[in-house]
This record gives sequence, structure tokens and C-alpha cells, in this order.
Amino acid sequence: MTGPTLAALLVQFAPLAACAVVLLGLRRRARAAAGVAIAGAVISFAASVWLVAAVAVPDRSLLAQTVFLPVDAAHALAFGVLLDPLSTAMALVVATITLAVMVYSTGYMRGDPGFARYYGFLALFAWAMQGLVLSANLLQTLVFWELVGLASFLLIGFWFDRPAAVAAARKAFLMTRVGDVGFLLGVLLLIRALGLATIPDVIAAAGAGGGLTPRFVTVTAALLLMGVIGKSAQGPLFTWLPDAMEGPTPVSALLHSATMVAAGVYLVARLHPFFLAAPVVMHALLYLTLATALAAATMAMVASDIKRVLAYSTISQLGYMLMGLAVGSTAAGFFHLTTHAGFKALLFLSAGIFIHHAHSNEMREINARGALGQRAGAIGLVAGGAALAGLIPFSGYFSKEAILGALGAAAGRWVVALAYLGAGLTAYYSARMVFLTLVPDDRTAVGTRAPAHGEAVAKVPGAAAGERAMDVTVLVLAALTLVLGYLGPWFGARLAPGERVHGPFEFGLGQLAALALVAAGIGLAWYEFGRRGAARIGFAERVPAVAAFFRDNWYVDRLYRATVIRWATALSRAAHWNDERIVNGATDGLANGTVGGGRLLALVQNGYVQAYLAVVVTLIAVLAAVLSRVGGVR
Amino acid sequence: MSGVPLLTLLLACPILGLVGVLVTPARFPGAIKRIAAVSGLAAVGVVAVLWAKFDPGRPGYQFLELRSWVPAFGISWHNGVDGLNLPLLALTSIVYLTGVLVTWELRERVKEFFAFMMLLVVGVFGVFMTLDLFFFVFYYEVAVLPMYLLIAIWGSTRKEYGAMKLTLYLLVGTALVVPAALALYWGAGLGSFDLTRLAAAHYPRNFQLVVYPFLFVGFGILAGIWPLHTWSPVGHVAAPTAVSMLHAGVLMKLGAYGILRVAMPLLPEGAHYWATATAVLATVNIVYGAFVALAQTDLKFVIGYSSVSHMGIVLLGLSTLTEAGINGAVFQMFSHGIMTALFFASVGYIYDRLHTRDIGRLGGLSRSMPVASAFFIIAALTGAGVPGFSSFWAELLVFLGTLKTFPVLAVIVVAALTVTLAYSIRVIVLAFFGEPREARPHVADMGAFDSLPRAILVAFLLLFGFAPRLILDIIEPATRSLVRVLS
Repeated sequence: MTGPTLAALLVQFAPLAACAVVLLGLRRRARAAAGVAIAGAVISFAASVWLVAAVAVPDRSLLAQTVFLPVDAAHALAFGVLLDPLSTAMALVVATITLAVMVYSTGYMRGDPGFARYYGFLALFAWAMQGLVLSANLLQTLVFWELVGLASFLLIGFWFDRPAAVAAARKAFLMTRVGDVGFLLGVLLLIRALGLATIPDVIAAAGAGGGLTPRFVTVTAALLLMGVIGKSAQGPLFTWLPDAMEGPTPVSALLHSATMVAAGVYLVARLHPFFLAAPVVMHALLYLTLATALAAATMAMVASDIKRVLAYSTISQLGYMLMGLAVGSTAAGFFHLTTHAGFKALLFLSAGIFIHHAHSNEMREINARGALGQRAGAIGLVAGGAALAGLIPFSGYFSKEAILGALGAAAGRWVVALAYLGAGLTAYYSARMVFLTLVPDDRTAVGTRAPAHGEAVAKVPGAAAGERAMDVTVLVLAALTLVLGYLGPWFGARLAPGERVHGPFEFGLGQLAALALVAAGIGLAWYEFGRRGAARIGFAERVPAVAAFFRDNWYVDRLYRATVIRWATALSRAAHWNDERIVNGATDGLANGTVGGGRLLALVQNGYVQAYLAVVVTLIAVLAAVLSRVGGVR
Repeated sequence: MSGVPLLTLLLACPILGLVGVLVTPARFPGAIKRIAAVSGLAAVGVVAVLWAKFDPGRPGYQFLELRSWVPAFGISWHNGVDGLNLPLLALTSIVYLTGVLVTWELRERVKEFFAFMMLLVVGVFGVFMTLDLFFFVFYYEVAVLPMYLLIAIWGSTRKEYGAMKLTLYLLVGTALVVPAALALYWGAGLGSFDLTRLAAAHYPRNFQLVVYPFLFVGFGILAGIWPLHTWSPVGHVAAPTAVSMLHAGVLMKLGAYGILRVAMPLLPEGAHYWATATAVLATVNIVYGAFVALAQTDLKFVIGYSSVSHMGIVLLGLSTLTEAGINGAVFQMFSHGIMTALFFASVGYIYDRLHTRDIGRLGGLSRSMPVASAFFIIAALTGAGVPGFSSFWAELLVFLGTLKTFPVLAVIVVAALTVTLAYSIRVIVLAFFGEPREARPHVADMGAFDSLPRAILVAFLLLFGFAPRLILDIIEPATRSLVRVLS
């Protein structure tokens, strides 16, 4: 086994080992549990750093696999690790964010009765995501894909006695499973057609002269994309993500940045040549994700809960990543995934500091309770907000530019225009969030305390060390927003060798237009929320019908409740009734009929000689009467 | 091979246990339980030796035992193991041992309970190891009849009704199987009940087409085939914990095994002719069972209908007549057996303490009994096809096989996975998460001794979930030769 392979195994199995130790042995020992889980994350992080140095920097590609699942005499599926710049860079992103979240959680989750379980689940999450990232086989990807879903279910529903958290966990699991049906069918089709699902072979088979017909590739790509749409909360399957913030805030940070939702985007990047062999599907994906990005931006414009704003922004930004991939730029899509992972984790963790302090998710409430007092949180929110808005020189600017550039080169005029509009909206809602949370509002008094989502219950003395851990994590991630943006050319050279990649500070018409739109968005937000004496009501919030429509997820959930959920419930009730009354009823009826028939016949055998005699006499009399009537007796 | 007749020895474990229990006076329930545990442990040990010594590379049966018994009718004591029944023998021994352990607190008529349970296990072991059609049918009856008493005496919820329904249905199955078995005997004209010899006989096509449905439906009843499945949830609900474990975990597999061991290899043309029909029935099982499970309010009924749904996957795998499908079906038999035993073992613990299984009255169990809840949740996740647990691979192989033979059914069945997840998550969320819906006494969580049998079951789910090759390498060669017969 070579060094990189060993390191790749370490990246995955250190968290798994930590998970097993924590869940089996340390459920009652909180500190030890956190220690073991963080140790696992540190090992995983170190190994992934080494992997990047050994594989991504020299731009190598390795595949190591072993037979895992015999299917039939001719075929067996091999599982293993696929190491190249894409997978190792992603592994490092995952390991970094996981480690940050784990360190941060020592403060945020301090004193929670389920502290050890929390760390066990986090380690499970890390294992599943790293397994997905490094997997060499699409079926293996599917396995970890499902495990990522399981870990999300467990973590979103971590506070399992809160009904809202449980409902959110259930929704996330079920809704992503709907997409996974397509993913599973796609993988099964590939295995049926090729007898294998090793990723490089699948990609090769889709290429020219690779053996798969274009129609087959189109169908399979569409099926696989169903899984992506579910996991990355796009199109009709987005509504699970805003609810998922019911989990602990650090979990949201993990879920929204490097794991779970990133899995979908990563899969498209991983199989990018395969997907590009199905241009129809990529076209559809472009329009779907553009619509999602804009729709989610409108929802973020009116939300008043800080985590909801962030959740909608995630959906919107995932849309941008997938748009970049849909027009064929692996580098742009993955670049944005990386920077977004950094600043979105930062934003959630900063929000967590405020929530921890103010015991509320409402931005106005947080503000009223003195948000500026939380210095690290404020720094994090401003840096993260600037990155999200696409303000130069924060990381988000560079990656969004890369995506808009790719769109400008390959997509139609209207698509590009709408994508720029979306960038403006992003700047608007990001700035709105920052102003609403941080700029003191002297006109309003302290409102009633709204219950916080994803807020840890217990306050324990001696939490200072924990709060320091939270602050340090946020500051480190804030510093990263100033660094990650310069990785673009590096990604470009490795992920898309032929592609023309802009240098970080080249200013063409596109860049200037984008910056102007960002400035306009921020300016509008300043006018409405930031300036002294501002009304603090957004333009979209002034029209109640529009605001309600945006706030209520464009009524998509209502639609599901009125249709799919209702029909499924009715169908299951009908099946239940049918089973009890018709299927089982028929046999019960048969049995009762048999017993009843027996009872009736038993009446005849009652043992009274008089009765027998009476029957005999009656029958003879009837017989005689009948016979005399027909004339048998003369 | 060494001279020790391992299979007879395996059968001797429950038989000697039965004798031991019968000679022990009823006033020593502790001794009786220990005898049962030792017998279970011995069975697991013998199976472990079988598993270790089994050579997957060798074609045909291993550990063969052949003694003529009634030469006049061609009945012989003929036992053997291949990749199809070795996993099922292992399953039986595991469920037997864990079933004894979860029944440790039984107080009512301990002696009789364990005597009947062992008799049941004798029958099951017998069916899984014999290669003689006469003994096959004989053991089949031995396995079915103690069930009535076990449910009617020690059961709960409508126990007489459930026991009677179960017995009648299974007797209908027998009524179909016995004439078919006799037809196989006479039709071959060999004067032998030996399955290996009957498999070599070529029955005329029309004969196969007529006899196959008798066997498929007759055995299928025991596997819970739609629409003859309603005995199974009712029986599960009525049965005491260990019996539910054996019933759903092992007994339902007898039916599928009968199809696999008798119907398919002896009547390959019949299997081909009826494949589409049986695959459609199996699909109905899967989808319909999942929808009915979604509407249940009793924990045990949910599991009962999940079994109907999951056994549909076994029947579907068999109906594909492909290697992948049959591999998956055999794997699923094993995996479902362990999973459903874990289900009933967990529910049994909860019901014994809270005296209710009504989902509407539970809630928040994960708070008050985290360990007991974790076991149930693991079983539910396994049932929902979460990878990491063995069922995932089994179902995957069945889907692969189905996609080859019946693509449309494959799409339906894969889509039905959402319903499977929906009912599993519904139960977890309503019964184990949230707040308790009504006041209930404080009950102790599961201790180490109660956890042990459940942990054993979880360990097997994880073992084969992480390393499916451990079992597939054993199943696969046997399936390959079966598929060769079928084509």
C-alpha cells in the first residue's frame, strides 16, 4: 500500500474510529468524548494536508481499489480511493471545516446532556463525508452519500425532544431520499451496462467511442442529477434546508459548508466529463439552478431569522456553483465551493456566537441585546458577509467572478443578466443581514423573547474557555476569507488545464459590472437598514403578499402538503383499510362462514329422537304430497 | 472431512436441549433456561465450525451425510450444506441463542415454553439441512405446529385468533405443498425422495407448469406472499418476543428456502414460465406492505408489515432467476432475519415494561431508555436500507437482478424505498423522539445482560454491512450452479 493510499484511509477511518469509541465507550464522559473526536479530526486533517502536498500540489492522480462486492460470476465491484487534486483538495476542505466546528462546539455545546453523543455523530458525519469525497466507485459514493444523509438526520434531530428539530430532521432525510431514488437507479443502470461503476471508467465510457450511447448517458445523467438536486437543495427539493437549521448551530455550519449540501456539487464536479456528455441535462441544470439561486435570494431578502437568511443564501450560492459546473467550468464551480465552505462556516459560527449570547435567532432581537459586544462575532459576520456579498478582496468576490466569467463565456445573454442580478440581490441581503444585526437601532425597545432555533440549553459556569474556543475559531475562519480567494489560478491549473482563468485582479467589463451591482445592493441595504433613522423595512417587505410568499418558501411546502403528502397518506390509509377489511376480511369471512355452516349443520345432529322422527314424518308427508301432485302415485 | 457428522450434531443441539428440558422438573426454571442457553450456544458453536470448514470453492454439497432410512419408499437420512443453506443455518442458530437470552425473565410455564421453542428449532434446522424431500416436508410440519401453542399460551393481543389464523394459513400451504411433493416423487419415477436425485430428473414441461405454482404458493404463504400474508402480521403481534423473533426471523425464511431448494431447481421451466407473475406478486408485497406499514399504530404491526415488504424483496430476487438477484435474496433472508429479530427483541423489552406498543401513547423513549431505543432505531435504519448495515447490500443485489429481468418493476421497487424510509422514520420520530405523550412510570433502561443478545444481532448487521464479501463469497458459487440449472 502506497503512502497516499494509507493517508487516504487515515483521513476516513480516524473519524470512524473516534465515532465508535465515543458512542460505545464514552457516552457518559463528555470531555473525553470531545477529546477523542477532536483527536480523530486532527489526524484526519493532518493526513489530508499531507495528501494535498503529495497528490494535489504535484498534480498526480492515483487509483487504488480492491474487490468489495461480488455481483455475479462475471462481475464484482471494487471499492477504493481515487486521489487527484479535486478529491484531495475537497478532503482538506472537509477536514478543516470539521475540525473548526468540533473546536467551536466545545464552547457552544458545553453542558448539553447529549454532549458525547453530539461528538460521536459529528465524527460519523466526518467519516461519511470523507468517504464520499475519496471514493473510487460510484456505488461507494452512493453508500457514503446515504451515510451523510443519516448523519444529517441524526444531527439535525440532535435535540430529539424538540418537535421542530425532529420534524426538520425527518423532512431532510425523506426529501433527500426522493432524489436518491434517482441516484440509485442511475448507478444501477451504469452497473448493468458496464458491469462496474469505477469513476474513471464511467467517465471514459461516456466519452467518444466509450461504449455508452448518448441517450443512455443522458438518461443516467438525469437520474444521477436527481440525487444532486435533493442533496444540494435545488429546484423543487430545496425546502428541507431552511428547516434544517433547527439543529445545533455548529451543525448548520458543517452542513451548509463542506458536507451534506456540498456533496451534490462535489458529485457533479467529480463526474464532470460524464455530465458534460449529456448537454441537454446540463442545460436543464443551468436553468433550474439559476431559478433556484434567484428564488432563494428573494427568500433571504425577507427572512428575519439570521440562520434562515444564511440557509437561503446557501441554496442560492449552491445554485451558482452548479451553474458554473453546468456551463462546463469545473474550476469555477469547485473554487466557489471552497470559498463558500470557508465563509459560510464562518457566518454560521459567528451567528452562533450571537445566538449563544442573545438566546434568539431573530436579527432584530440579537441587535437589541447588544450584538456589537461580541467582537469576534461581529468581525466574523462582517468578513463573512462581505465575502458572501462578493466584495473585493474577500474570497467570495474571486470565486463568484470566476463563475460569472464562465457563464459569460458559455451561456446565453439572459442567463448572464439574471446571474448578475442575483449577485446584486446577494449583496443586498448580505448587507441587510449585517446592518440588521450589528447597526444599533435606537428607535426600538427590546422586544419579546422569541425562542431560538438550534440554541444550546444549558449555561454552565466556567464557560470562558469555551467562549474563547468559539472566538478563536471564528477569527481563524475570518482570516481565511482573505486568503482563499487567491486559490483560483491554482484550481484552474489543476482542474481545468485548458481553461482560461482570470487573474485575481483583472478588471474587465464583467468584473466592473458585478462590482457596481454589489455596490448598488449594499447601498440600497444601507439606505433601508443601515443609515441613521432608516425605516429598517426592505422594499420586498413593504408588500405583504410578496413578503408572505417569499417567507413561506414560495408556498412550495404548502403545495407538497396539499398534494404528495396528502396522497401518500390517503394511499396508505386505503391500503390499511383494504388489508384489514378486504384481504383479511375475506379469510375471516371464510373462516366464520365455515364455523357458521358447521353450527347450522350441527342443529340437525341435536340428538333428540322426537326431532329426528318429526323430520322424517314431515319429509315423508311432503314427499307424498309432491308425488301425488305430479301424479307419481295412483 | 473428519468423521464427525457435524450436521447431525447441529440437529442434536436442540434435540438434546429438548430432552434436557423435559427431564428437568418444572420447579427449576433457572436450570431449564441454562440448558436452553447452552443448547443455543452449542448450536452457534457447531455452525461456526461449519462456517470455518466450509470451502466455497468446492461445487456441490459439503458435510454430506447419507444413510438409507426407509429403502422401500426411497427415504434417506440425507443432509448437506451449500452456500444457500449455510447462511440460514447460521441465522437460525443466532436467532435461537439470542431468543433464549431475551426470554430470560419468563416466569410462566418456563419448561413448556422452552420445550416447544426447541421443538420448533429442531424443525427449522431440519428443513435447512435436509436433502430429502420427505424429511423436508416432515420438518416443515415440526416447525409449524409448536407455533400454535407458543402463541396461544404465551402470546398477547388476540392471541388465540392470531395463533389459529397462522396455523390455518400454514396448513393451507402444506395442503398445496404435500400433493406437489408427492407429484414430484411419482413424476420422477425414481422411487426416491432424494432431492439431489430428483433435481437430476427432467420433468415434462406441462408437469412443471402445473406443479410449480403449487409449490410457489404453498411455500410462498409461509414467506408472506400477497394476498395470503395477513396471518403474518397478526401472528407477529400475538406472539411472545422470542417466538416473534423466530417466527419473523427464521420461520418465514422456510418458505422462501422451500422455493429456492425444491421448486426452482426441480422445476426450472416452471420457474421461467411463472417468473413474471411471481415477480409482480413480490412487487405488490414490497409496495403494498410498505404503504400498510405507514398507516399502523402498533409498533409490532409496523414491523409485521415491514416483514411483508422485505420478504417481497426476497421473493422478487428469486423471481429474477439471475445470479445477482438470487444472491441478494439469500443475503436478504439472512439479513432480514437478524434485523427483524432485533426489532422484536427491542419492542419486547419496551412492551414488557410499558405494557403498550401504541405509537400514539409512546413518544420520547430515547430520553427515558436510550439504549433500548438505540437498538430499535438501528433495526429501523437497517430496514430503511441505510448502508453500513447488511440489508443495504442484499437489497442492492436484488435491485440489480431485477433491473436485468424486469426493469419496470425495478423502478417501482426503488421508488418504493421512499415509502420504506417514510414508515421507518415515522416510527422513530413518533415513538422514540419528541416528548412522552402520556405520563408513564419511570422504567430502567436496558442493562448489560439485556443488551447482550441485541448487541450480538447488531454486530452481525454491521459485520456484513461493512464486509458483505464474508457472506457473498459463500452464497455466490451455490447461486452460480443454481442459475446454470435454471438456464
